[in-house]
Amino acid sequence: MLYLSLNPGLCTYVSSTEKDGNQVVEDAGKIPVSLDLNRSFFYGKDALAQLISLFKNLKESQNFPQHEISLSLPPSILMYAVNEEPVPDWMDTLRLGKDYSEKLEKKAYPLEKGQLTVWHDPHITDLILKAAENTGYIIKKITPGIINAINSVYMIYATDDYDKFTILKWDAHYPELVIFRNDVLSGYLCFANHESPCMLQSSGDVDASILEILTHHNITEKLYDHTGPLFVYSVFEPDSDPLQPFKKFGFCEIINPWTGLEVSQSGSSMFTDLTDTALSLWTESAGFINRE
Amino acid sequence: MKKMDVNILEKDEDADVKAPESESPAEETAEEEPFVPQEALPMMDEGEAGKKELKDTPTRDTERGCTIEEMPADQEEAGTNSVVDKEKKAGTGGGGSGSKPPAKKKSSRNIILLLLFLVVLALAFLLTQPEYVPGFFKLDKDTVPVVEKTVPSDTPEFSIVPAEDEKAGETLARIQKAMDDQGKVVPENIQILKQQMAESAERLNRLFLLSRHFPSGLFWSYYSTSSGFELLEMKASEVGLFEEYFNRVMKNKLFDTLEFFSYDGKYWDSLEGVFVGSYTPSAKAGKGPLYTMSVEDFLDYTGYAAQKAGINFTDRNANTGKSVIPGTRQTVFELTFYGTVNQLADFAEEFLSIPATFTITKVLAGRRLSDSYPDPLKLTLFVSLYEKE
Repeated sequence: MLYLSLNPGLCTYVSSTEKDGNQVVEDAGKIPVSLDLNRSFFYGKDALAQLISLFKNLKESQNFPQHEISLSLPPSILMYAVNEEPVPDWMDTLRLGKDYSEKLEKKAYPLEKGQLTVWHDPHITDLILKAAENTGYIIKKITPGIINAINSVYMIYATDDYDKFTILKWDAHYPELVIFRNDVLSGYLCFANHESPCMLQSSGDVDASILEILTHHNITEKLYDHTGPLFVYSVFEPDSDPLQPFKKFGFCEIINPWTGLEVSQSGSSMFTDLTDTALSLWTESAGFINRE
Repeated sequence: MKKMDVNILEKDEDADVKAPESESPAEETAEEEPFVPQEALPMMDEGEAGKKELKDTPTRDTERGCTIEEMPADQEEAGTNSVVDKEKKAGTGGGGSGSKPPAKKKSSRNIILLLLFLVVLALAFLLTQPEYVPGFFKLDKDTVPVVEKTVPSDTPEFSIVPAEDEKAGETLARIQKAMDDQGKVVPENIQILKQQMAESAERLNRLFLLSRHFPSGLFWSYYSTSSGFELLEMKASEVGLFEEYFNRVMKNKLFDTLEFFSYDGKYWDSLEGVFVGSYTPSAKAGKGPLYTMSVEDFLDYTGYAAQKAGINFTDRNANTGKSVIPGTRQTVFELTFYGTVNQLADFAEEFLSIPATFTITKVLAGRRLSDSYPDPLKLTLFVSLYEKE
């Protein structure tokens, strides 16, 4: 199975095979993504052609070809909300407008308390499925990237003793965070990381002032009051380390998605000399693999 | 924490949330039948079954407040490589060099609560025993303070909902409550609109901020657009007023850049000229919903706000057209008001609180030399109102 995490700017992949009942990583890599992955891109004329080109690029970069894909997508393609009550349809119409809300499909997944609602545009997901199919891939699963990060943290770190903790996806485009209270998912926030940041999605119990602290040039320890211990990962790799502002705080842990995973001799070679931030780029793709 | 399995490709009809058709904001029965998602997804059950009891696996280093988990020996001995230090499966450890704030323990909070409860109990016991209560602390019925009920004011505050339209008020309140309670999923273009609303409020308020610094004897007209540039055309009754104004506003850091151009080339010694300034908007988009209001209602509310502030008001050039925001149409107004700076500032406050979605794209204001003092100031606003289609 090929586990793929797609984000604007970067696509990471992990390829695994089953050995003695265990998943063993045999290959991993990353390819640059020059596509905007927003609605205007997917409704553009050559979206399919560009997606096919992306999958072809992926195919060429693989050392161990796989045909089945589990794919995680960014919040520019999927939308989520954490609610105590189901979101009624009229609320979608009110928030998103009639035209747009009618296009979307909505699914709800129960949480320990409340539920996670995921919206997706079938036009967009169908386009991705079609592009994959044209390149010889079959997409078996599509999931929000941040959910895989949640699963990574769940499988790697002992979090049950914290009253509150946060998982933060640090991205040049759409950073996201999820807040857990008493080990239960209770809030979600996503914002556009522009010069003047815009909050795009906010739901559940989350303090919007986190956005201001996070986007300030110097992140201070005030952040801890809002987030509790912070598990961070990056999905972009600029020249300098994007997680540097977080590293100086003891309450931040850069997620190491490779913890507990078996990696074959061939797969491990590519991780030599990678920084912890660089290793965290695979948080979403490696989050598919069950290591329990 | 629970492992989650989300797959939007799964065709499970039960997982699709379909709120009952009757759930509309106008119907009183909307909340009577809360929708319960049925068995959501089969995969979720698997995830639940496989829920990991984290308490069992890690070894806790209580001094450091973090968690260290030892890897199973057989995994250590396996011929596979790992890119990580397999021996540390940690809590928030090893991330940085700073001191690690310990995680807040639930147990310590409980102990504090228990102690507080015991102290209150002990105090209650002592105060009910006459022999333990000091004389100065004894209360009799004459010294017990009486809490008087506050009498509601006869003059109710201005309400955004007309009194006769109670149903509309209820609906609005219910929508507001639902929006506050439930998650918000805001498309980027709507969020940008909210940001523009915040910035246009800042734009209007800057007129009053800048006008507070005008020295007397300065006549001006003000022009501001959404580009972030401001233009102040000025005439001075004496030499030196331009420089004084420049120094005042720059001292207060009201502009990022401010340039002065004199019409006759005499610079500060001139009596006519223009300031061109730029500033970076600092307004942040507020929380809460976007309201929709009809053109007629919007003008009524604007008229009401003008009347309340004691200023005159005219409107013209209302053009309605397609908006860039899906599902909305846009009407552009040119609204003109006459009043003193204070009256206009009062009006602006009221105007900006109208529960409609609108942006102010241009602000023009001023008093010219030809105006005889105290002729009222003229303020013209170009307003775009967004209305749900």
